[in-house]
Amino acid sequence: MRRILAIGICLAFTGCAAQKAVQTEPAPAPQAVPQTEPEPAARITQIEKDIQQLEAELEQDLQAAAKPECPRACELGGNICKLAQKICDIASRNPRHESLKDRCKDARLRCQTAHQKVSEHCECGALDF
Amino acid sequence: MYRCLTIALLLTLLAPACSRLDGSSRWISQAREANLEADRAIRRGDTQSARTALVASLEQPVPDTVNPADSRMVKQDMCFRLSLVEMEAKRPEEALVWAKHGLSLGQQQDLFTANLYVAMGSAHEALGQEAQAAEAYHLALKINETLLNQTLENEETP
Repeated sequence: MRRILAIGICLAFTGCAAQKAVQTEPAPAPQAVPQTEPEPAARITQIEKDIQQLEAELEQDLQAAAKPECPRACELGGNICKLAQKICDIASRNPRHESLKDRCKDARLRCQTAHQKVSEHCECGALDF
Repeated sequence: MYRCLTIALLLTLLAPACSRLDGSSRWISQAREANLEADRAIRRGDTQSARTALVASLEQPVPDTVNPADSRMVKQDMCFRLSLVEMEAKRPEEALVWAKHGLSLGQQQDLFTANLYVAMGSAHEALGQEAQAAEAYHLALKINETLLNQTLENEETP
């Protein structure tokens, strides 16, 4: 992944550098004056700026990629709680069945945990939980 | 001359490979078409046609070139849909058979397996087998929990 990103930076950098080189070329003079390359120091400064800009863009992309997959997390959390509800409905219809009561308790706890975990990362709609 | 011979040789070698790929894509296409046909049938309330389309697709032999994990998921999804169709047709015994058949194809920590457990739970519930229903729902719940944890872990470690 890092290698791909590094290659991406290099390619982008090469492209930008080439673009800058074209942009910094002086306009054709009316007289036959030899064209000169930008000063090395100025060129280096420009390259450093390009690198900083690319790094900032990369950082933004990485942050965006690290954002939670909230729709999926909300859906899975919702599934957990809906299934917990089904289990507890069955348990309430069979009050004398101890193992169903335990199952309901466990399921409800898992629903609460899922709700808590998802809420730390995402804002789910009311329908999801 | 040699170039032409090389191209001819390449085509000869590639032809069987292409026909193998064609087999896979044909199988996938027919599965997709069966699902669409089932959708259309369900929309017009024709559960019999939906069932027929899905069963016919499920009975198609799977080409060797199809990844076994992929064919399991496709078939399990069809079994899940067949189970829903049977529930819609008020045939919970049949719904249970399809859910069990789907699970017999292999169980993984994925939504295909979880869906089949939910279908199994619904069928048991409709049959008044409440303890089995709760057990099936609980298994589905635990798979969803695993998937949720994986989803959140992936987010924390980009």
